[in-house]
Amino acid sequence: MANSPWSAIIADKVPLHQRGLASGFNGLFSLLGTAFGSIVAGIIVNKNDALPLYRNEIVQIFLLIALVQSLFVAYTLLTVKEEPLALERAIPFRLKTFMRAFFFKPAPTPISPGYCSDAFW
Amino acid sequence: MEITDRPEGIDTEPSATRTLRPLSTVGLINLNLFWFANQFHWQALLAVVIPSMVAKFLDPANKSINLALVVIWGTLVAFIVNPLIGSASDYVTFRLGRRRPFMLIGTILNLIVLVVFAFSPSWFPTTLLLPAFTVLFSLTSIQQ
Repeated sequence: MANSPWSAIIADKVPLHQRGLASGFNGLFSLLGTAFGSIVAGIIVNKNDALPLYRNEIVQIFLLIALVQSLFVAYTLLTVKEEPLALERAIPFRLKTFMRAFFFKPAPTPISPGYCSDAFW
Repeated sequence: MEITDRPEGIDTEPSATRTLRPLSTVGLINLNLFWFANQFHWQALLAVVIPSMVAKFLDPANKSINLALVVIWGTLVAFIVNPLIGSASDYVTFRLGRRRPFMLIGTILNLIVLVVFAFSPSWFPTTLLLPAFTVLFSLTSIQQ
């Protein structure tokens, strides 16, 4: 619920000429998260420890993940501001249109028009 | 960047699109720091924590199939739910914006799931641990 809407934030907020750089930071932080996730979890959790100690390690790693999430999400919410979608530009919700977006035919056009209003190429 | 074709009233760009200001480097970093926490969460869980919990708390003889059982449902659920929620976020007119409300609510719910997951080996009887891990992993897949 948090991540898939956030995937659109670059398209929302970054002008065309900076989108590659913005996506580069996306890749960089994903990769750093992957690296630190393995390293930190590997350091904390040791499968060969006795059960009481191991239970503690599991509690620690889950709480650490929760702490990292809280801090990063709080920072994101404080630093990234969004303009609410103006009511007159809001899309009326119609289930048929909504569902049809998932069943487009990719063949006739490179990008389904509903997905690309930039019309840049 | 003009909008040439607007089929069936679908216009997914925010009102500010045509006046988007260039962002500073810090601004670009702020947009993307979330992905560090996201990948930290997933890599820690999928590479280390869940496999070791399955091996330690469930029958060691079946650890591979148990791991598959725990992870497959969350993956399937996420496969359905993520596109729906991402698409739904295009429609909302909340004051917080279109993406931030989902991040806020998803993260709060996910924190609850993570805490329950942390203590689940003590809270659930051994026979219920496999379904408990499966449900908890599915919930975290939806929230995160």
